[in-house]
Amino acid sequence: MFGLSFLVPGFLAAAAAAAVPIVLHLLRRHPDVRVRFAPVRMLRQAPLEQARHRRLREWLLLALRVAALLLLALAFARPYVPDASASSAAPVTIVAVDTSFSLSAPGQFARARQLARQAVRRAAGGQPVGLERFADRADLVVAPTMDRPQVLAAIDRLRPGAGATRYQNALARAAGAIGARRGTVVLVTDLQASGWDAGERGALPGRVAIELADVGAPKGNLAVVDLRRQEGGVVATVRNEGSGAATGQARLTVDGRPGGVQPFSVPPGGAVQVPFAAALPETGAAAVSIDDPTGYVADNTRFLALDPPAPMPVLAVTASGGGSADAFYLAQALQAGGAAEARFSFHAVRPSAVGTLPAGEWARDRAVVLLTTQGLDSNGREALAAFVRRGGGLFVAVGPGIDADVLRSLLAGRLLDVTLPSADGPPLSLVPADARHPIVAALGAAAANLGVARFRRVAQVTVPAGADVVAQFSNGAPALVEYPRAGGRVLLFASDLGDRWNDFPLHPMFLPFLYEALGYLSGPRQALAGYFVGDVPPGVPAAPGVVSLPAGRGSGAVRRVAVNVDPRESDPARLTASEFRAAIVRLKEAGTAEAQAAAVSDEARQNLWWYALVLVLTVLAIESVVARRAV
Amino acid sequence: MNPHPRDERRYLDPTVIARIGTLDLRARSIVEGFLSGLHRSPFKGFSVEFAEYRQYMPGDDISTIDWKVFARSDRYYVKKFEEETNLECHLLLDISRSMGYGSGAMTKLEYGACLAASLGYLMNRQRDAVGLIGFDDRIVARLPPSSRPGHLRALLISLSRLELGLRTDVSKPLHQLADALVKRGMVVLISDLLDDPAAVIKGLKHFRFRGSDVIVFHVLDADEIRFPFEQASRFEDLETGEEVVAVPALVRQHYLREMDGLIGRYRRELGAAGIDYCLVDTSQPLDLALMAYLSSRGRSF
Repeated sequence: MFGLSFLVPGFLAAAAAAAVPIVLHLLRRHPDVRVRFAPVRMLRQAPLEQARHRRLREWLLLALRVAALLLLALAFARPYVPDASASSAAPVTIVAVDTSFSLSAPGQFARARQLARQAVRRAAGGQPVGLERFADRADLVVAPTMDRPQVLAAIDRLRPGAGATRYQNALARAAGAIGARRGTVVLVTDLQASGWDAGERGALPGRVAIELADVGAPKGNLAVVDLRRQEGGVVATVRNEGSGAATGQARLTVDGRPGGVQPFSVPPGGAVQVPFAAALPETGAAAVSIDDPTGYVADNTRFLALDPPAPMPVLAVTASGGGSADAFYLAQALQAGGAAEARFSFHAVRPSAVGTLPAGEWARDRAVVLLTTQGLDSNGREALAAFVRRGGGLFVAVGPGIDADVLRSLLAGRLLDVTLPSADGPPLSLVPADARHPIVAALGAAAANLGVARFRRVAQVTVPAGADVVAQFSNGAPALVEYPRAGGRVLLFASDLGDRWNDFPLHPMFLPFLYEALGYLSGPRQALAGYFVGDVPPGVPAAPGVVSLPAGRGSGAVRRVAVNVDPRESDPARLTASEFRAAIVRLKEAGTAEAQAAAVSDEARQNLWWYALVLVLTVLAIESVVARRAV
Repeated sequence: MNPHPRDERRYLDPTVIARIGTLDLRARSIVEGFLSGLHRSPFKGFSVEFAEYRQYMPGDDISTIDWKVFARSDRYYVKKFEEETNLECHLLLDISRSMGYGSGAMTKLEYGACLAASLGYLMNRQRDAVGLIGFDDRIVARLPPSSRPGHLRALLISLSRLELGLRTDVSKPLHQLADALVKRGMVVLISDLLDDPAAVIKGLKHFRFRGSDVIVFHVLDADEIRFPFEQASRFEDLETGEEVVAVPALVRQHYLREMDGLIGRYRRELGAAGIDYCLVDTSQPLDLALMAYLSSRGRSF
């Protein structure tokens, strides 16, 4: 109506109330009082004029009252003027260009630009076109516009970065740019399989079409996927994703100075470790580079901060939200050695707060210890599951605070299936089950001392296929189980860590057990003491290299951390177009939700209801003045 | 209140009679009656009062010839004397629809009928002949004047049978009646005079021209005189049905000016024509109003 839309159109029905004064006016058009009078002719001259005025006043009063009621109904209906671009009937085209480093192979990005330009020109005339770039994050470079030269110029300025591919973010951003309109997302990408996390799916409204512009992928790629310090030097891991053997030379630099060259030969689809013997300083930066003329560029160099690694953050989900009660022993163990020498930094939250933790809390090198599920809502469960999918490590200690049903719903496939004990049983001891498991192997001969602790209550664990029983109780029941999850690691301990079902925390093996288990969960990333490009904290450039960060709050010291590309992006394995589309959920209601959100946003910005109410008050004030004069 | 609300006697209020019983209503001008009465007669006869000499005309009574005047002038003159007689009084009652208005206990018509009844009583007691004419825009009812003792009842019956008529046109019946009058008598007009003042006055002057004594009782309701209305109302004309919506507060001054002007005009012009004008407010007790008028009129003799 007049370009207006309404958030609550139902209130417009209240405008029918405006008929009330009209009806009253019609019913009471004449004064109630009728006087049959003889000398009416004596009223003729003077009253005619007043009657005319009176009729005019009555019409004016009627108009004012009707207007007040209509404006009131309008105000309650929360009017707004839809965003012009959103209200446009023309569909929108968003060209989303993959700028991850998997498009950094020679000639690849030129082809991507070409495909993007074609997509812009192919968009029908009269349709706005926007440009998005995506890697770990998705950014709208040019908002939908009719100015196509602007979009083409922006395409020319695009460059591949060092980020990894995340299709979910790309699709979400494109859908947001399209808003409530119809549209098309043209995805210019190499259809890299690692662009979807395990089990991840993208979502697009049903009115948004998707086109794939396949850039293609190089035939192979050599990448330095790992670099770590070892006794007497460093060791780099070179992976060959090509179909043929690859040979070359790896070059070490330490603090910018050459540190050695080592040849390597890598079979197709394999990896090789390239050791460098070098006297390394206690602090500094090292890097190993290779040449890969046909593959991706960003993964040809790996950085290593030589500074001692920062304490690994451990997030504990406890009943108290702190390190007391059920998390007392855990907190004490992780903080042993004081702030200067602690390998871990301990941080606890209540289950109810898990779902609302900011993204920075879920950095990939953090391990999460789940001690209780009381108050863990669906958002919290989803946050934990997503953390694991992204490669995080989850340690579940089944104790009094764990709800078996909640635990089963935590991961897909009801993976964590336990039965809680109802009473104490005969005391059991802990026995390593898989001597080759890194946790047990790290404990070495001391693993035999795990049997000193006594376990009065243990949970019965249903071990799914593919899971690894790392340790068991003396009755053969699984005690420590590792679950197979692509990308992340999940360990389940069948008893608590709080000295309620056992006396494990009171024994010396408690601390090394925890250290090795949590260290295992963080995996080799913990040893890198660094970040992936897509996970850098605020203030850290999202580019490969070694950066200096404050060592701790208020300490004034700095520590170096390495920022490297995500090694998963080095794998050029591709999806087919149909495999890619299969991972996209077409949502019918998403559009509506987005349209509603856009409407709410427009209305909140415009606040037209306020002006309508002011008008109502003004009209009522005028009406009262006119009505008084009519008396 | 009249104890006989349903019969012809309802218009003859004992209270009124008690008040006016001792008064009389005399004609100011000479009237032609057939009985001895209160009123001066134009006819010369056996009265002891010498009036005038007139030249003898063949047919005059020879006994009235003044022989002394003949002796002095050698011409025959007859002597004329004043003689008192009764009169014929015509009560003209306006029964047009506008007379049906009444804000109080009585409508103007009822009040006027009471007035007519009271005057009829007075006339009858004076042995004057009184008749009744009801009119709206034409003469509707007529009771010829009579002084018989039982005529009062006939007058009252005529009054009781009168019903509201149609539109007002006072002047037409006045002219009609003035032309029909044979004798000079008294004409009492009882009306609200909500008509063209010029035409009404002209009609009344017609009676004066014919030598009759005219009294006008201008009967108006208190509301018509004071216009006390407060609420915005739809005023509907009783006769024409014309409607005017008016806010009394806004029109009151204008109306009162008009009404005062009308009353003033009647009073002024009728008075100049030798016609008695009496404004009667229906909210006033009839006995007081009538007594006041009769007393005032009596003092003028």
